[in-house]
Amino acid sequence: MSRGLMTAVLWLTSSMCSVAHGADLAIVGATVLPISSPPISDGTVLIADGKIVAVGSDLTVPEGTQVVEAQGSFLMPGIIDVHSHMGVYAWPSARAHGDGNEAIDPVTARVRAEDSVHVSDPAFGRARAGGVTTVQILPGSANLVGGESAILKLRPSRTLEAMRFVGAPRGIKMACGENPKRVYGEDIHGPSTRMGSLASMRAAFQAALDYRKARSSHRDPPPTDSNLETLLDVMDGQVRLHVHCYRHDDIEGIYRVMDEFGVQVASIQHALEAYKVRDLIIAHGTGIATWADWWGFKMEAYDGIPHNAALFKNDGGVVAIHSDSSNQVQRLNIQAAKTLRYGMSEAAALETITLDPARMLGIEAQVGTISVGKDADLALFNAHPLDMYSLNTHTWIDGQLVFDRSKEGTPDARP
Amino acid sequence: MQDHKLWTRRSFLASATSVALLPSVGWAGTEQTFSNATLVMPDGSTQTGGIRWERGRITGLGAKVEGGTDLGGQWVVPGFTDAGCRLGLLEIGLESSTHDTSASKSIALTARAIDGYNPRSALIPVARVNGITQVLVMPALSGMVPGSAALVRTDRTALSDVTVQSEAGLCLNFGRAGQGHEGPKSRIALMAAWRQFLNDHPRPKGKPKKGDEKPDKKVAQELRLGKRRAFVYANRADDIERALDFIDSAELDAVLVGCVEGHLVAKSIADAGLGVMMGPIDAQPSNFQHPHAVYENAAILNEAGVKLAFRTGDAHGVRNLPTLAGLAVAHGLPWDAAIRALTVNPMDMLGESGMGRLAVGAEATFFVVEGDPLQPRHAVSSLYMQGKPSSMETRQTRLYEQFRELD
Repeated sequence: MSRGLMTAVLWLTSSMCSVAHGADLAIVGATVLPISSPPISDGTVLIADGKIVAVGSDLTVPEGTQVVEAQGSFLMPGIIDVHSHMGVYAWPSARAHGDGNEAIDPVTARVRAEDSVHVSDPAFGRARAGGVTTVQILPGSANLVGGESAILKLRPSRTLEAMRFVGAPRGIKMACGENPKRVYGEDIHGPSTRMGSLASMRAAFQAALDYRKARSSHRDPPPTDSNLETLLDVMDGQVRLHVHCYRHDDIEGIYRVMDEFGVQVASIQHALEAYKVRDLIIAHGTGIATWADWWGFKMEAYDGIPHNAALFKNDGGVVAIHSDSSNQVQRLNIQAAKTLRYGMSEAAALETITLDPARMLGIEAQVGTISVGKDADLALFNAHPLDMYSLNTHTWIDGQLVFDRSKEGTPDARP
Repeated sequence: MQDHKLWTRRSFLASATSVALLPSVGWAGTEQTFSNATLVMPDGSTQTGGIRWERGRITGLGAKVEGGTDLGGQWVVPGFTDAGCRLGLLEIGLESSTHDTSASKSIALTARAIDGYNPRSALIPVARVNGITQVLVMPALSGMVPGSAALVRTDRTALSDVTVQSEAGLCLNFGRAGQGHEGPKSRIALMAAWRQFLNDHPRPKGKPKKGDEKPDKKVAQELRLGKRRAFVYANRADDIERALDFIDSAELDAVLVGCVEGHLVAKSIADAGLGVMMGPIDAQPSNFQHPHAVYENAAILNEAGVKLAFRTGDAHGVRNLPTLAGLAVAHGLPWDAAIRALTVNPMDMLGESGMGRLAVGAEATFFVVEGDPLQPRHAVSSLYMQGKPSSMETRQTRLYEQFRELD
């Protein structure tokens, strides 16, 4: 379909929607960066019941609609961070807030990040002020299998329940390389080496298969084991797998194990050496979540190069620029901007903080672009979001205004 | 978009190769000219003009300088200074075998960062190709007196060549940092220990006494006489207040370092007439050591009349200095003030009036970039250190070249 025709159909569809349902909110006059299509100057986005119902440059705003005048600003989809520890390492950082690593056993598939999330972590508000609307909260990387992630929308809330991203697939964190080795290296049971780590992963998946076999036999079935139940869900494709992994040969090793057990890897997290084996990763249908330019903080990060994201993206891969930090999450647009000088296009750079992370989490039908039918999760910037001096001024989640810089500035996060 | 991508890649390669083809001998002595450039001036303004240099120094500057290479409006920017980092003191974050960051004792008067500095570290070119041409290398800011900082250039390899000031000043720590390395266990104990330090090392009067020639005594006496600069590190506002009292009572020639909560006591800092090597610029209110960190810190200090320089405190991340300065601009610091904080201010604080600026007679250390150097999208295309073109190759560009095409 030609781009013109596509736009026309989109326009028609959206017009019909707006006529049929009316709208609660109209954001008018901004340069709209839909991600799914080229920028629209002087664009209008209509929102009804928390969903985007129309996007275009020449839309009629139904009477009675609340209008946000956004001339001179840039409207983009709410930013998505696939790697956050907000809530599980809540601010203020203190020993008492260390809830991210259940470092008692290398395999803790049964634990869930949502059970650690401190809902009142002030970092959530700071991320919202950076235009971030959806995050995946992950357990840390001490364990080979760290536990299930929590996919949250950053709605201001007193309860975890109200933050839940309804309909998001489950996710789980695994880790290899230096971290599990460092944490368990002194332990007699290990793992203390890379080979030990992969052997333990194989053993865990094999134990899950043996458990299923034993459970299906009627003679004396073993009691329910939530670790193994979760690993079976992973093998059945009900839980998306995100593997913390840096070195290229560690990435290859992960595939040796996962291919053996038929497990699909949704993403390699951090993936600093993905550029060395990007063909292998892309062939496996795996995305990478990485930083723009962080490197050298440990041996397996020494070969990290700032061209990594662009090399992977330009070869057709799915790339998320992630934060892994309650500081960086506030400026993911600037992190994405850093990739421009290493060969990323503007459109691709914006995808790394919107559509690509949505794909990685399996929520691209709901969020990640400004498209009719998607959730009205939006971020308004006072300049192009890849401009150093741009600031997010308004954030909407499900059509609700959740941040307004003119009212509160950068949210207070003092302990 | 495609054009931009190609341009970036091509310019990146072109700059890497063209530098290699240039003669490495003779450059410093030959007069060179760039014209039709956007010049970043010492006051932080920009003007169109040219730059001429010879034997490592700038000999002509401004609208009347013509000829030579036409830069077509590209920017010429004086090399930036990271006023407080650990570049060259460590190679890998978690590998302590690669660390030479500290003398590991609470009071190390004679310890010097320059003695741990490895000018061949792979990290240094990574910083340089992003426009950082001088760094103030500080020992790990832990303990009461971690030792002396060094001002170095981020090029060349012989220690004697890179060193501008082997002992640029002595680092003194307040707040939690002062408690490191088995030092005093609370702020109460720390301040008592600082009073004891002043008592143990009085300001010398009259003729030299026996023992004055001992190296640590000599350092302390120079400090007390104001002949040795003090880099006084404090972040929490009350720690800054204690540091200001200490500087005043000990009559130190001091610069404040860190100052994350400086905005709460900006007037006191301005009244004391102290310069501030501020940062990390993106410090967060994430802990009890600087719970009042704000993005507007630089803007507020500048507004109060405090002279600012910027520090990363980092090693691998020194290249982010311009972006961090840009963050301060996004939060209210005038752009020209940010530029001064990266260029003339740190050099003035360190008494190097012939460095860190485009001015006739100053060192010809600058870089060429397609536009505003604080914009992350703008890559440095070439860089000159004391008049000589500098290699744009790093360990990272070599890896990029190795894996750009997969076999």
